[in-house]
Amino acid sequence: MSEAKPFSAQLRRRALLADIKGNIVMALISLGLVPWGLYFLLGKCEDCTGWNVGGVIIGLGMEAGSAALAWYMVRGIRERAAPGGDALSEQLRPYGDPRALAGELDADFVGQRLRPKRLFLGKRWLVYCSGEPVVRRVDDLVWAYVEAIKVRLNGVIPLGTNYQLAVWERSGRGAAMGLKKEEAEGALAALGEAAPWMLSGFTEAVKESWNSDREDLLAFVEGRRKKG
Amino acid sequence: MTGFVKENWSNLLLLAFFVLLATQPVTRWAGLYLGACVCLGFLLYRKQDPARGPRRWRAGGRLLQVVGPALGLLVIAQVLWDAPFNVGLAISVFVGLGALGLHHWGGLLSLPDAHEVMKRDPRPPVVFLRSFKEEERQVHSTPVGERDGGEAVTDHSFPASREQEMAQALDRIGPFVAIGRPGEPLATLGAARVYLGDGDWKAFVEAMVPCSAAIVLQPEFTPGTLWEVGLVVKAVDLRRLLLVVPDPAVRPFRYARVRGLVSETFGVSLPEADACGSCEAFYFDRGRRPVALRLSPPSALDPFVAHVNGLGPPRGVS
Repeated sequence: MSEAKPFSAQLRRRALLADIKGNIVMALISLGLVPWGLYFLLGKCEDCTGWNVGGVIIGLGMEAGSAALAWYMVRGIRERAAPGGDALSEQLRPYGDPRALAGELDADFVGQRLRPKRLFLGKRWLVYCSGEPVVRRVDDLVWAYVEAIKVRLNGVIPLGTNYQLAVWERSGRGAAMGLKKEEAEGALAALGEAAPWMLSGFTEAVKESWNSDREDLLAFVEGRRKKG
Repeated sequence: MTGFVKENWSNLLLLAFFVLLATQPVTRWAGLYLGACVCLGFLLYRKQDPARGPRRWRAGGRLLQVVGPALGLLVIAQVLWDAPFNVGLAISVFVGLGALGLHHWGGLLSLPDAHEVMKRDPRPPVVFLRSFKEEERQVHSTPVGERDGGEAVTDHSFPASREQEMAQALDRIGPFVAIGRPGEPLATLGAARVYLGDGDWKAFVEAMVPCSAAIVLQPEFTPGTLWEVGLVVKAVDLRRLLLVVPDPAVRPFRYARVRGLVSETFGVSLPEADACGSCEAFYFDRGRRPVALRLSPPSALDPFVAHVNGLGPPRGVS
């Protein structure tokens, strides 16, 4: 079995693949919208003859949507291609120099293979990757909880419940990581051990304090951290 | 001009859509009606000179409240009659929303000024002292902030202020008045507003507070609100005070800070967050003991209203 590449390199590779996949889908949608828009604009829609403004609106909307998607895609590619514009660097930049921090990340997960939709908890870093990577510094975390999201077909027919671990850090930035229920609960417990000062679990009081009285909440968490 | 377009791009897009509707015979009236609603919105919500106070036009507002929805109903009838059913139904929803908007704006335009309210109602007023920041606060159903990854969670929000409920209840004591935020394009529902410049509001509050039947104070830590707290401590009988506090059940940290402030300035001790459960305000009985209240529904304030009405006229009123 070959030796695992540095963790940061694995993350970058996976993010690049996700980017390419996303861009292919976007390009297909954008190209597909052009002929449909023309079809409506040129009045070929038989259903629209009774109320022809509908065809014009739909056609214009489709062409505008196609242009917007193409613009969004090109902008994204240009941003990613710029030096330090890759997804991992973007995640690390709020904490300092991405290059130096990538080294810390490699040290935290030395010899580990990145697997999608798995949470990796090191001494200093929390990493999750399902396409775009999510990287958070454990030291900065203030609040984590498991979120249950009811999935409904067309907003009506219940299909089940998805679970994700949500974490918030002191800068106000959050992240959500889709996991199985047991995995999410286990990850929350593990995080609680790694960062004992952190508030664990969702309550109305923490949510409202986070939204309205964040300074007070952060001071409280900081107090817990100092107490150890 | 570009600033206007940037700020209002979504409304301009909506206006373009309504103009397009107006070009079609069956949706002409709906397009014109909805276009007029958007244009009126631009006119009413354009920036207002802080020195002039919000836009007020009593007769115009009342007229808008009646004529706006009436025209809306006519347009709905026409579009349902002439357009294909599904198109007519979709456009009727827009027109209905436009009619509700016109009715609401009409109500805001015709709101009386605090001076006018006090002239009409000779009873000593109830003065509401709070920070403008707290007035803007929204309660969100989910934690607010940018987050990466995962599924998006639907967020619902509503204004945190209980001012409208308080206005309904406290009207039984006297006219409910407050200082308005400078630069507001339209007046706000709740307490009747008086709009004053930066230099004048303190003089107004100093004059009003001693002769008020009751004071509603929402202590905060902004310099303006701290000054108001100091004034209330000096000039108000504690029994006439309704102290609006952060609910300790949902904002325990802010409640603890406000509790500290109240203890320091008023010399009274509010219950600990754990001991008090869910409450949004306190008044003080004859023994200066705090009595917890909720602010909604308006009937929750009945004990305070009865308590203040039993005290007789305030010190500053002969």
